[in-house]
Amino acid sequence: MKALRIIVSLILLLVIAFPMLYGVAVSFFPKSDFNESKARLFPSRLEFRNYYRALNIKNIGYYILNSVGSAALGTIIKLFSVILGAFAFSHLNFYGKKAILIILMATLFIPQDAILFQNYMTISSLHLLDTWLGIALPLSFSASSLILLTLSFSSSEKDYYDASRLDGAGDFRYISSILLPLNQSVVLLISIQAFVSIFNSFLWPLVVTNKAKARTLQIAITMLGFMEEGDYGAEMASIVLLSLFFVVITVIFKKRIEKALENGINIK
Amino acid sequence: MKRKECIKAYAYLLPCLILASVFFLYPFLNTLISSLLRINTSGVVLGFAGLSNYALLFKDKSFQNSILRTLLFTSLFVPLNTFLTLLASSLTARKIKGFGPVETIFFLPVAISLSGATLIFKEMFRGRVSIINRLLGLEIDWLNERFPAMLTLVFLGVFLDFGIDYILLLTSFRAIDKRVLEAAEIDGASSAQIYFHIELPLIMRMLLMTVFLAIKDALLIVAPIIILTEGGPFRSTETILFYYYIEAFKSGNRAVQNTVSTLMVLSAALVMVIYSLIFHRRDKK
Repeated sequence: MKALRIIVSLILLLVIAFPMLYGVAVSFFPKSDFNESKARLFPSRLEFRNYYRALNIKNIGYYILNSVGSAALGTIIKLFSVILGAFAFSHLNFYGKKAILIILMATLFIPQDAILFQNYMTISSLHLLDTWLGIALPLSFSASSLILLTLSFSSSEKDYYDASRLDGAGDFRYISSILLPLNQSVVLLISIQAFVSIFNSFLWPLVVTNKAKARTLQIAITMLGFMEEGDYGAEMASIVLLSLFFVVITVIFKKRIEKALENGINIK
Repeated sequence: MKRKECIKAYAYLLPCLILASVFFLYPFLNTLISSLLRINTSGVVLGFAGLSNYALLFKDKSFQNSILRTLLFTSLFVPLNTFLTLLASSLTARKIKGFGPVETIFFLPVAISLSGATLIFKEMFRGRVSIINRLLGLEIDWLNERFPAMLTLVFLGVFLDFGIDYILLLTSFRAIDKRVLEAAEIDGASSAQIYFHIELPLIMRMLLMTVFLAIKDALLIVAPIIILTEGGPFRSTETILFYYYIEAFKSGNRAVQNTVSTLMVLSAALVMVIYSLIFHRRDKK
């Protein structure tokens, strides 16, 4: 029984790992390997120049800067809005609490991709086409992060808040020196998730950028022109380089993500 | 409730409210209302149209085609995705020695971006000489034949969603109280009985969630198509949102853009409403 379990999981593993492994293999193919009548699994020799060419793409500095810049900007906006919102929901009493919560939750039912054109018009009328802010803004609100953080904030002791108020500390002081350190792991999880999702987004940045120098990496790699020239090796090399960072992050944070999910499942 | 506290709370909620209204609520309400109006190509409102924009839309052969393509994709993608992620998580739920890296690899697709994964699949399925044909001994021109192109898209979809669905199911399997399983074992239950009568019902909540999220994602699929097939061959992978994307950004057709947009938000919402209804009924039992 156990042997069967292991065999089936290994077959499944091969299926899931194959695209990633093949991508890495192709990134080392010399050009001549693509002209053979049967596709190769391994390169005839290791062609490192693919990586050299991937790193020397025209405008690559702009693409990196745009991806990192817009993702960082979006993450900051998201953290700022969600932390303040979650603080209000978890620590303050006010009229219309439920109504506001419902309004914010309604956004969960509105998928961004289905209102693409309207948001394009909004960003365009704000003169934010081809800017980091234009890429980041519509992607920097998430009701699910708000819920997650509100739940987490609610579970921390209210006594600290009362005590810090008696000591004359303002809300911002309390949030930055007590609330955030106490909820470090959730905040970290939300930040990573925000950064990765904006960095890896495709459709919205595609729509909202027109100038070549305003594009992000995810858009740029689909337009390198390597594919058209049959230069698949350099194309794959650029994808490998692009994925490497997040693969490392994922491996490092896997345990933490599982822990956070487990806690989430137990709360319900 | 003190007045000062109320004002403070509203101020703190302002950033969230602005982002939510400007980029979610306003665009949806705007398309909803516009879809009921007659608007000319330069954006001037000519009058109330009722549902005539919708009637026109449903008569459009391309839109009909896109509905069929989307339903085909959904009916292929959702079962395959559910089966494979459930299989992988069930098999690895009880820790096997040395399987840590296996779990990591099952989870790893979350680290690969949509465009990266799509380009890799484009290469894997490129023409008759593709690596997939060689390994499976096939002679299919995957991306230039109707059904194979759809299948390629389904496989890509499974790969893209695999990591997150796997980890969600895996953690819910592992959150099951071990004492329950041990008690069943002592009572002489076979491992198949334990799996189907105890474990599966206990993770049903999460399984349902992943299934409904998959349905929603499938109905809304568009980005991989833009990179992989551009709707081809012969419009065989032209889904509803791909049709919307082309009409809105390439043809500038406002009536189509407003009606499709409204319909898709409503269908995505409907899927989530059905999900929460099932969820609540299960809870009451």
